[in-house]
Amino acid sequence: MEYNWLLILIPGLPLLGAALIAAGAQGRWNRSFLAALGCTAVFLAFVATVLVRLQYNAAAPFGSVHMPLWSWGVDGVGLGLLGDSISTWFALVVTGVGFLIHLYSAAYMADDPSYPRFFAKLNFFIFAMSVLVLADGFVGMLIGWANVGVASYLLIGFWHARPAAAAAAKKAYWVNTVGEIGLILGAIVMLQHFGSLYFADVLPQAWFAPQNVLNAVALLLLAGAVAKSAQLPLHVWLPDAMQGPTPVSALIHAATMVTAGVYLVVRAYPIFEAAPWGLPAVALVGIGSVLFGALAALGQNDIKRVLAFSTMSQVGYMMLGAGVGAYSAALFHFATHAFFKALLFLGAGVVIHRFGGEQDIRKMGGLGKSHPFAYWTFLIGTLALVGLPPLAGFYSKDAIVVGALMAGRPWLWALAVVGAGLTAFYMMRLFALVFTGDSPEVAAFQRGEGARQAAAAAEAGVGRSRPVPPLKMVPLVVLTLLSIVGGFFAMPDLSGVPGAAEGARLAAPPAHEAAVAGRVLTESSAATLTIALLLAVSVIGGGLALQRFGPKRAPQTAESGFVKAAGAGFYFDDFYRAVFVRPLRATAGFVGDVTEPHVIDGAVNGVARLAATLSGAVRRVQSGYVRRYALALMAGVAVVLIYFVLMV
Amino acid sequence: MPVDGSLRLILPEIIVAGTGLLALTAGLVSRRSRLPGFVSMLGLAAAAYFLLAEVAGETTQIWSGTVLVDGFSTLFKAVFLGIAALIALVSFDYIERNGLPAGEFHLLVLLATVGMMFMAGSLNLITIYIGLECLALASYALTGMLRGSAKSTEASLKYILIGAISSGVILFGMSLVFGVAGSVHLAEINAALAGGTPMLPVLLAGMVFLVAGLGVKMAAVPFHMWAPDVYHGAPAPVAAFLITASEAAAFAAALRIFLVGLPAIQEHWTTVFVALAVITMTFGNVTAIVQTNMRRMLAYSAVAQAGYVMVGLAVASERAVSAMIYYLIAYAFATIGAFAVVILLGRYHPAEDIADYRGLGRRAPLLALTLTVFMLSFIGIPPTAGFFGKFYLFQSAVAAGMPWLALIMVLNSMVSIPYYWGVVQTMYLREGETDAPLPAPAGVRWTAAIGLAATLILGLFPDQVVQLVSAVQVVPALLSGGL
Repeated sequence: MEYNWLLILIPGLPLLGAALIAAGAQGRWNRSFLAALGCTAVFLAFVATVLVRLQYNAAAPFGSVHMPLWSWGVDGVGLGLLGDSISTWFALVVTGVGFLIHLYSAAYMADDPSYPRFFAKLNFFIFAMSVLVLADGFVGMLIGWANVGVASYLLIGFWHARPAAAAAAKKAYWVNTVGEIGLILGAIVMLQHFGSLYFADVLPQAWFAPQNVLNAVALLLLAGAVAKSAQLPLHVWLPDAMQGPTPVSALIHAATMVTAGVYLVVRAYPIFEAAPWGLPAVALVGIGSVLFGALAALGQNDIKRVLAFSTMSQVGYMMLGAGVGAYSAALFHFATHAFFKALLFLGAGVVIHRFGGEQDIRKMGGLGKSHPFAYWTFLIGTLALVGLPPLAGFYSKDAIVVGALMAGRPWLWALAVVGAGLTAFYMMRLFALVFTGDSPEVAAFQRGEGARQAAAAAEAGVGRSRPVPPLKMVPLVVLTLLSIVGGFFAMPDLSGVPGAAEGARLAAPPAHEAAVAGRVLTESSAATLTIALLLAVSVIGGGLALQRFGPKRAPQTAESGFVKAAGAGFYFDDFYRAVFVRPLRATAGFVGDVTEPHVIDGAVNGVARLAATLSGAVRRVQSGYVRRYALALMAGVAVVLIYFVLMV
Repeated sequence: MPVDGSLRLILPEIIVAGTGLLALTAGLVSRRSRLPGFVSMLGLAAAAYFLLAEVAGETTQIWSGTVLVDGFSTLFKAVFLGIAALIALVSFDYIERNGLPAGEFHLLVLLATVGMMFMAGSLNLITIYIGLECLALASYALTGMLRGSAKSTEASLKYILIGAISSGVILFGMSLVFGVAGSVHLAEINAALAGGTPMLPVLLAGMVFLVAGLGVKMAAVPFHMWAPDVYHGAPAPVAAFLITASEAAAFAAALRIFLVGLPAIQEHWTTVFVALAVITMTFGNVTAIVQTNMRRMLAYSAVAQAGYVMVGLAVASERAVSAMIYYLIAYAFATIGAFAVVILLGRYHPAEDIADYRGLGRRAPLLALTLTVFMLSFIGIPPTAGFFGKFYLFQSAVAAGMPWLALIMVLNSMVSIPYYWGVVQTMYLREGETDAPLPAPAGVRWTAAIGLAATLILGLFPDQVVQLVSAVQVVPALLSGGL
């Protein structure tokens, strides 16, 4: 492992930026300067990441870059930074896309009175996320994990005056705490069993650990991953998290933070692979989330909630990829998804601003004519997500679905293909509703609701074709290009990551290679079949959506029961409310009304009375009379002496 | 006394003593009351330089075994010098404001320091006793220095009386041990007892008196009763000095006496120290909760903290000893830092009630933040030094097969949360009568800053510090062969 101090700059500069901006906001520094400071910090962090990646490339395939930071005098517990195939891959996306979204925010949030506060929090997030992905052990990962949770809480609740935003922030935090507890318990089990929490110590040993330990650790880690990545069944916080500003949704709740669970699974893959229940559980969570997210997205009418459920579904693909052993494909899809989902969210931001804050896609339409720039960028993002060749999503999603087949999991493969069809349907529905047809003003006019409404809309500045400011345009263009060419990047591989060498040395070949050998399919025929099927279902799904919601859409009819259920996220929130929230509230109420006054207060008062009695007794001894002090001293000696006389 | 190279080994002590006389002279010559303080700090720096540059690394006994120089003594001496320097730094303003005689103040602090250095730097019971008396006599005078204050005078008188009793008790214990073992040198006592313990009852009585006498200095319950009065009544810098340095010196002496001299009866003194540790920490914490006065709260907190340190003495493994030393260092910095804030507040609110800290978060944001860190360290919250101190003690107790002792420690830490955290809440959540900023003199600011830096550095790099600390051994290497 090679030493490189540049590693510390990756989390260090954004942290410094956050501190400076926070201080500067107190000192009422110039807003634009503070925003520039935030962007610069992240940009420099990105440059540092590129340099580290270059050094890693030089050291690859079996080298890595390392920088120890702290140890706490307990064996195996410490903090350091590690640059290897997985971590630099993640860090590149985190800082790169992070920088673009910082730029976008500089324009998007320009009118907000708390502009500097926003950048301080955004920088803090980049810091926390880089610690998460660059840590060289589970300790550092946990520190990053907890801090991204805090950053997410702060940013979802950025407009804390809105009750919905404050509630969403709290919800996200609670759900993530559930996952964090799983992660901490997993770390404790690992420390007990492996005597260390460094990846380099734990992961190579994982191949040889007892199965029950591995199962426990894998499931506990998965709980953390599921909560952070908004996977079934802990996904409920993600749609609500869309209460945060749109750049936050793009960066944290689409491109980076929600993929932390994928990072965790890929990073700890020796544990998941060696644990009998590990990979199947991951794959199950993944495919469940793919289908659930896609179905729920069908019924959403809020543009950002559609994208949120879509994120859940796409992260599900990544989990599925990891769960069938196609780790490289999962990492690859993480990167391409970061590009096109960030693009879609930023595009959604443009759309929302265009409609004066309106987020209901049923009230939108016709944006294609007035806003060609938004139209084309959004279209490319949509097609990349749907997986149309040669756009980025095509390659990465294909790799995952092919991986499922190669791993000998035909039913996972089939469901993944179905998911792709659903994806095409909900994305084209979104696109068609927003960009095709008539603009709401025209529609209102045609319905004869008359000039009054149109005038009101015009007065609000809605619908006027304002040029997109360059600060917004640059990130959109860059992300569009990345969504187009991202598929041509080389897939990351896992050689040289902790535990990989030991895994490769094991006699039994891993599942993803073994399953193929005896079966009918060769890799190329599997790929051909998959590509053909995926294209077919995507075209069918997209076509159906266009037909139904396109320019010649039928007038809105009453929603079917299914659509209603999908719109409500299949009542998961109601379920949790009934099973956890209400009983907890009731318990709290019971404690507050009944237990507290009678039982706890009674006990507390009892203790207080006891303490008063005791201190009265003490006061008599601690009277200030030296003779009593001396008496106590000698009495103490006497007691000990008597003890020894009696006992020895 | 042979005047050879051996004199060089106690050069730090000689420098400190000489500096005391210089400081006294400076106080007589110059009307500027700051001069003695500077002289004292310079002298301490010089002593520290000689200690670390010349003496460190040596392990020798000189003068027929009356003085020992080894890693353990050097480490403790360095700690004492550091504490004395911080006390000098923090008391500049205090001395001026209260009209204390600066020369005498610094002289007494330095003489007490010399006493402590001999307590840590000998295996000879007589030398240890003389060091202890040197420390004690200086402490009595320091405690009574606020001539106008009845509290101070009363505390001083009480301290003298209890101190005299404790000296008698210690001497009695030493003479009993001498009677059994036939020597006042700890290594020889060890050798005499190695083959078996004749006259066990007499020896045990001697041990009990030694525990009690040192227990007075450590403020172990039930020998602690002087402590709240003295820590409350003495001038604030003196209280900080006694809580940190004097207590540490008592522990250093106890480590030597029991681990080097009396390992033959370890099972017996372990029992006593376990009981004392539990009683002391519990009593200190429970009593601290009801205090409304900051100084009294810190006094009982000091009692409780002594109880935690005693866990190390009860466990008495190598690991426990390094944990104790780490804890004493961590606790010293946080205490002196906290006292810096107490001294500042005392200037405006002489009553020193906890209620006077209302609104400090606004009046002196940086100092309030610093005090918060110290309180967190007292409770033992990571990443402050206090956490790792407790953690290492805890670990050593578990490793020694006393998990229940560790559990009692943890429970005690939880009991202590309300009174430490109460100060923080008072500072930030309760409105003060005024929002007027509190300007802090440079000495106070620097002391608080050093305390803060040390608390955080010890907490962030505990590993390195523990490695440094665990390199020293209570039983010096040159003896272990001959024992």
